[in-house]
Amino acid sequence: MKKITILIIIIIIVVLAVCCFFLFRYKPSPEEKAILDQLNGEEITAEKVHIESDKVIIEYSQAIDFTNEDGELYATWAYIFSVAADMNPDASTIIINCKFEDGEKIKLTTDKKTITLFINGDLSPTEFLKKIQTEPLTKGPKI
Amino acid sequence: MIKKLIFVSIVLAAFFLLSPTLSAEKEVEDLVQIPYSKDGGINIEKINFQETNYKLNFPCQGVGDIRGTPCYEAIKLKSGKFEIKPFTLLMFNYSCTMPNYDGNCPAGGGGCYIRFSNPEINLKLTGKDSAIDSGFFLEPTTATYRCRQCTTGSIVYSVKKTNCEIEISQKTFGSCNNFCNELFGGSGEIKTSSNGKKFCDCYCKEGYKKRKTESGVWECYIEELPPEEPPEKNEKPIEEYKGPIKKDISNRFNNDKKWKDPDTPIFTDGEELKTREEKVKFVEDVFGISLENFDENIGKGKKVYIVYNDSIDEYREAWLGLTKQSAAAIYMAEVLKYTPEVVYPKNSDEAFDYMVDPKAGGIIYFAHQRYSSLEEVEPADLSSQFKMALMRHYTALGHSGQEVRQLIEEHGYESLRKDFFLSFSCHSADNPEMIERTVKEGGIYYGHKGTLYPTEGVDEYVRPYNK
Repeated sequence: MKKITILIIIIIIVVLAVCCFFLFRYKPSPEEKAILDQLNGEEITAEKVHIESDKVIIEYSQAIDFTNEDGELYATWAYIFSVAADMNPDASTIIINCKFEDGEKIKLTTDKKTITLFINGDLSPTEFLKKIQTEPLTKGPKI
Repeated sequence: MIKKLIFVSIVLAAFFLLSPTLSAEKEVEDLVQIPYSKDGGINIEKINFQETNYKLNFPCQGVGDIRGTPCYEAIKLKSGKFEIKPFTLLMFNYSCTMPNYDGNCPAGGGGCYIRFSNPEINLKLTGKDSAIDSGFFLEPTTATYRCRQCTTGSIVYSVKKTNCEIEISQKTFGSCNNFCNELFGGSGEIKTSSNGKKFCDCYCKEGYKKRKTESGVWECYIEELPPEEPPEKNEKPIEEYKGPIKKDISNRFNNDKKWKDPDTPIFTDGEELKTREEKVKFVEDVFGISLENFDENIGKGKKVYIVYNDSIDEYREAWLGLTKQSAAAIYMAEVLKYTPEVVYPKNSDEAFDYMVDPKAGGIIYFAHQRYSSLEEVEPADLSSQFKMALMRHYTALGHSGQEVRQLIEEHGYESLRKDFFLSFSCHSADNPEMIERTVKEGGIYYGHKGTLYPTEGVDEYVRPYNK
């Protein structure tokens, strides 16, 4: 009798867990999906896009064995910023949550004006990078 | 088990039996009955009437106020009569004028009225029939008199003491169904009211609904689909990306040399640091140290090598940049008036060559290591490395072997004797011997005990004098 009760409880918990998963899983809006599609089309592993009132937050996954001699990492960030700003004219702040594949995370923030200047060529890549605010969300890799 | 099967069978049977009934009821609901009303409700403009005109002259036969005098009773009303075919719609227009009195009529009295009555049949007249029935017109009058639904019977009209022109329009439909079809496009059905009189009820055809228009007539119509909901206020059209493609951005980065210059501080929290105070604060915040004990001009004419050991891969270097350690190293040298130079030695010898350079007053050393060391050489063994590096240095300057040995003795090789040495690496402060091996007496060694992450700072260790 006890075994049956435990079995029923386990089944209920599993069903509830499955329901919660489907209920609360990330469902992008059409605008968010458009950004995801645009980024994924350039082989950027964008995982989530959240559009808030005047803010766009993009979470993407970044490999750690990159070579940044040609600025590949920074170009990826600049492209993500450009897409988010261009496809959301109302957004004033764009945030990238860069999730490295070892689990380390860093938040990159800049404003729409800076991105527009960069897109239009009025800001060099160096000047653009200098305008980015960085905030580690984890401790980072061991030195 | 059998009980369960029976129950399921009953439920299924009930479902299949009820299904057609439900469907039939739905069909009935689609037929909307136009309610019978004496208030009219027929759009007579749609009817192609056949018109018949009657001109009638009614000689005066009364005097004075016909209602208040004996003359009223004496009036001999003249009446006309015509037959109405079954399922006929009638419309009356009449105009009456008062004739000149011929002497037989008393002065001051008279008028005209017209009355339709139909005692025999169920003739439904419009709402104004009673008013016109008792109408009493002193002036020429025209009125439209309409009946609504006619099935069968006759009509009687009575006029006194006046000339009237009566226009009677009629349309015979032949059946209730034709009548309803022509007027509403639906079907009709003869029904009997509670007082036993018959009338024709109309139904809209399937898919149509009934309604009364502003002018008071009934009509059948197809319910319009609700207009498409306007987009919600916060629902914006999806923008198409019109910016540069990733390849173009990559090319721009590749062609921009400045960010590649290691001596250029890049990540400084989005702010460009201009004043010495701003830079000092930045350095102190990032490294977690204080620069106040340094002479502001300590580095004049000297260098600071910022050494990235090859254990610092691109990933770690990126983190050191993002956590602002790289920029802080450059600014630290700048604010103390040293000339910063970022170097990436290819091997340990090259790293030691930079360290022993007499022009270098300070070293900032980024390395990934497992214990207190420089280039994985423990403090006790560093002096021999320093000596060899000095030999390479002086030999490269063109000194002879004898001179080199002499210069090394003069310079000393037990310690680097720098103003400061900042070792941003794990375990860099685990062994205190690192202090005397790297800085001069009074100099400051910066290191970290245990594991170090790029988000952390270093601790300060001053080498005491006479040690």
